[in-house]
Amino acid sequence: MSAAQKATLAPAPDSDTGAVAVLGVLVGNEAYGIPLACIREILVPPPMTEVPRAAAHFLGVISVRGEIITVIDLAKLLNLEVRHDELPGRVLLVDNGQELIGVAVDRVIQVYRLEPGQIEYASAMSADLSDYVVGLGRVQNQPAGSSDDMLILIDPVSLLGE
Amino acid sequence: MSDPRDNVQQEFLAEAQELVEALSRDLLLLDEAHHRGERIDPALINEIFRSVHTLKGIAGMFGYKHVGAVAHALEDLLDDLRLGRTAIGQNLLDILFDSIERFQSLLTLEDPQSPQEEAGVQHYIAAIRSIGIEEEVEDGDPIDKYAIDPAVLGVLTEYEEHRLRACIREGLRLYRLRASFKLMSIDDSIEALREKAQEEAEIITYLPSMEGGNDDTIELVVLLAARVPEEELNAHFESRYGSIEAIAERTHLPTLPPRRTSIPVLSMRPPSEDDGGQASLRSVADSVRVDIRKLDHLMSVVGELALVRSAVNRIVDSFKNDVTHRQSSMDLDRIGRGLERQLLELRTGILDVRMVPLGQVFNKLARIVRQAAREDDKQVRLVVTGANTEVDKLIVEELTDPLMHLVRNAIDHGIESPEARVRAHKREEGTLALNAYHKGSNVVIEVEDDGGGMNAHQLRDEAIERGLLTAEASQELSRQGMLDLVFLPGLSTRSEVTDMSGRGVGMDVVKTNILRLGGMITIASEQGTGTKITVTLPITLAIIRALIVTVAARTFAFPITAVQEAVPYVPNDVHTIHGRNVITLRGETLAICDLGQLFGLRKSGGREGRFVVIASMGHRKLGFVVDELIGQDDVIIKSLGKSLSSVRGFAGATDLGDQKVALMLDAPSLFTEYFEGPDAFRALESRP
Amino acid sequence: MRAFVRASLENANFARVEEAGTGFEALRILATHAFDVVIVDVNMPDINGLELLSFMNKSPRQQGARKILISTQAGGIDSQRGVDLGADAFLKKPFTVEELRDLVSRLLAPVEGVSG
Repeated sequence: MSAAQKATLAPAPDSDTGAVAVLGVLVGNEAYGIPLACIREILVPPPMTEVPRAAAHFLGVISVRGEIITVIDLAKLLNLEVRHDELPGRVLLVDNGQELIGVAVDRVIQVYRLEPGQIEYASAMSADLSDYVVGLGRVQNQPAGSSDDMLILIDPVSLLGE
Repeated sequence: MSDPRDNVQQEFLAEAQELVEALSRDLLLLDEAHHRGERIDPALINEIFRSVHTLKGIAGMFGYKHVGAVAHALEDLLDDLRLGRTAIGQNLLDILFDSIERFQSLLTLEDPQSPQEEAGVQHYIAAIRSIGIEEEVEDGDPIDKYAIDPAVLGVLTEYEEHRLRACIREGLRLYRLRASFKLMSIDDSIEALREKAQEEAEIITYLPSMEGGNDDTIELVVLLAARVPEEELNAHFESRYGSIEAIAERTHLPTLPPRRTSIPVLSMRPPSEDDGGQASLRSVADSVRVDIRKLDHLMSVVGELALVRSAVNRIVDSFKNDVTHRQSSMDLDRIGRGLERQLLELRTGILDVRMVPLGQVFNKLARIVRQAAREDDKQVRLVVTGANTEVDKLIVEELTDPLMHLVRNAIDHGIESPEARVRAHKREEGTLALNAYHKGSNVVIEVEDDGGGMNAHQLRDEAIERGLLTAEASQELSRQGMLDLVFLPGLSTRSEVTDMSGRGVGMDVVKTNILRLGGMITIASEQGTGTKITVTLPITLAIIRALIVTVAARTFAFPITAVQEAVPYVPNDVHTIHGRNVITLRGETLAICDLGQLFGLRKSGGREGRFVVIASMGHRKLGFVVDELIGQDDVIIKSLGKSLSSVRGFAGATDLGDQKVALMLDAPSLFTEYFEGPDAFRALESRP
Repeated sequence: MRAFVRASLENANFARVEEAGTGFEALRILATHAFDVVIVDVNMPDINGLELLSFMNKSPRQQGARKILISTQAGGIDSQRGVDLGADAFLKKPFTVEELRDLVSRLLAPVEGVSG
């Protein structure tokens, strides 16, 4: 795990316990967690303009108050089998440390506050986990629509989508 | 009853959506500040409160029962929060965040009153209501400490009264500022006052008074709470806004020790340490330094206005043939044209502010010339023309590195040593010329030396040797083609790293940088006589006129500077020469390229295209086959993000209004790709 | 919000409707035009609704104006102060288009020549 990855799950400074706030989102029937600290906005997807020749996981670009934002399809990026052909449910504006990027998800669940004991870091798990995952977060109530009571924790720094 | 509703239903949804988005933004800010343990701006909480308050109001008017109910409960919660009756905590933040998703789903309901949602909404409202109120222990009302006019207290809202109380508790002093404002410009004046006050004080309220006012001006009494003594506050406002007087404290009441409220996050910011700007502000006479981002923002606004103007144009057009609206449409058209003139002036004005003379860069280059000549033991005379040619500030910044490299190259590899020059019957002292001039909407910069020139055949041989070029391909190369090889990666990069840039960049990087700015770079060289490198750049990057086209149902924009004309496309007139499709236009053979196929949007051999947009770059021309011509428009170019920077063929994107985005075609790179093949291009782009 | 108030009033043929987005804008209009009915929200940016009521009380131009105050809680401090400042009627958010129109009609009823 890189230093940057560690930094993305830095606990909130007000927390005595090292808890991390993450926004739970649903992609297909899996629940993912993105650190709340890097999310700037949650949008109902505006019209999307596809960019020819861009890699398949780029849905296209959108305009947010005149700024052009690249939108990544989280499902395609993570090579998920599931595919919604219609528009994504929500686009999160995520600051990946280099630029604001749009991340398309099916649905936003809620904000979770994960205590350190609820987080299992990727380094402690098998090595074949996707490059975009920092670890797993165990939540108390199984999110609606999810097949598990786990949040797969995404590393926003990895969302550069080369 | 239903008619006005139907008309404004969409407007309601749009406004509601905007409010929810604003709410989402503000909540994220609140969350961030909370988790960083920072002071939370009372204005932020009040802003959140107002969004919800407004949402509740409009939801009620339009029968969005559930939205209204949720907003109502939230509003009460936020009211408690802003009035200091409850504190910010994780539970409260979570509940607030949940509201975003809930509002968004409730707003998309077919039936805004749907009974199925009832249970969920009630459950959520119960959660909101479950957040308790912290009762404060009152040690008497702190407001009593001051002798404030009851008439003033009588017009404070509950929120303002709460802020007043909180400020007094924190030990801030109360002041009254009395000033006259011009009615027309009062908003700006107050905004300026507010900004100035922010560092030292909190403005509780503004009270209009009837004294000393007339039709054009109005006197306001501003109630302020500040941490600093009266003299300092007076100095701070420089008496610019009228007189400031302290509000007397009642003496017969025991003075309360200042204590923190139960919500420490709502404390005032301590006086700012960053006071450096104050002194200089006064000394600045005729000029101001402006952050380029502010100009960018203004430019965006102008661009948005241009979009509005286009939208109005379309409406005028649609009315033109309608006899009943003839007069109105003519009036509208006339007003529209006036607006367009003013917009153009505004745009020119802002562009003008952005312009800086190239002399700034040339001065830097002069230092490099001296240094390089000394290091290389060469004698170099620098001749500069057109140093006052103005270019957009951003371009100047991006231009410095490439130009430094070109100058360094000219001295290191172009100009010969004094002895060699004497042998070649030249003056001992070599000449390096930097010329800048405007040419149409472009600025041309030449870097010219009277050195040894380039050996075209040697370049070709080197390229073959390094595997950048096959021997067969080299057969077809003209002398110019051989010289252009210098822009290939891996060829011009000498083994030694120049001290100057310290990066050992090659001509390929120079070219990439110039292309990125929307420019062109060409090279001319005669062996024994010298080399001239010409860089052509747009004068400004911010707004450009574009030709909007569609290809395979997608919208693209051509920079108008690259477009010569557009002609109807007749598939039957297409011939194939050397594997390339060409048409004949006024006796001239013109290569054409179907954009839909180039971008993989349709299969080859298609005949869908209806127009050929003829673009030119330097001496080259190329026709792009497109489907429809939508029209010309002034657009603001925004770059594609870092993630998409490696995608070839696009110079950026632009918002055409209604959040519809069109990709801006990058003519230089499309030309390179077409004429030099995608491989040459890939080689250029694959550099780290 | 203002757009809807405006739309519903204009649809009901209340002759001329002026809207103001901020307290200052309102001040500008109130200082120069006389009105039959003025609708103000307590919670406005900058100059609040109560201050506008107080201003109107002092303004010779607005002596004939009926004042409607929009507020959140009917019985709250804000509304109480509104009464003290001579508000003629209250609208508690959320309100419906019909409620607004009825209220304005009622307030205008004794005044001549304001229809159409």
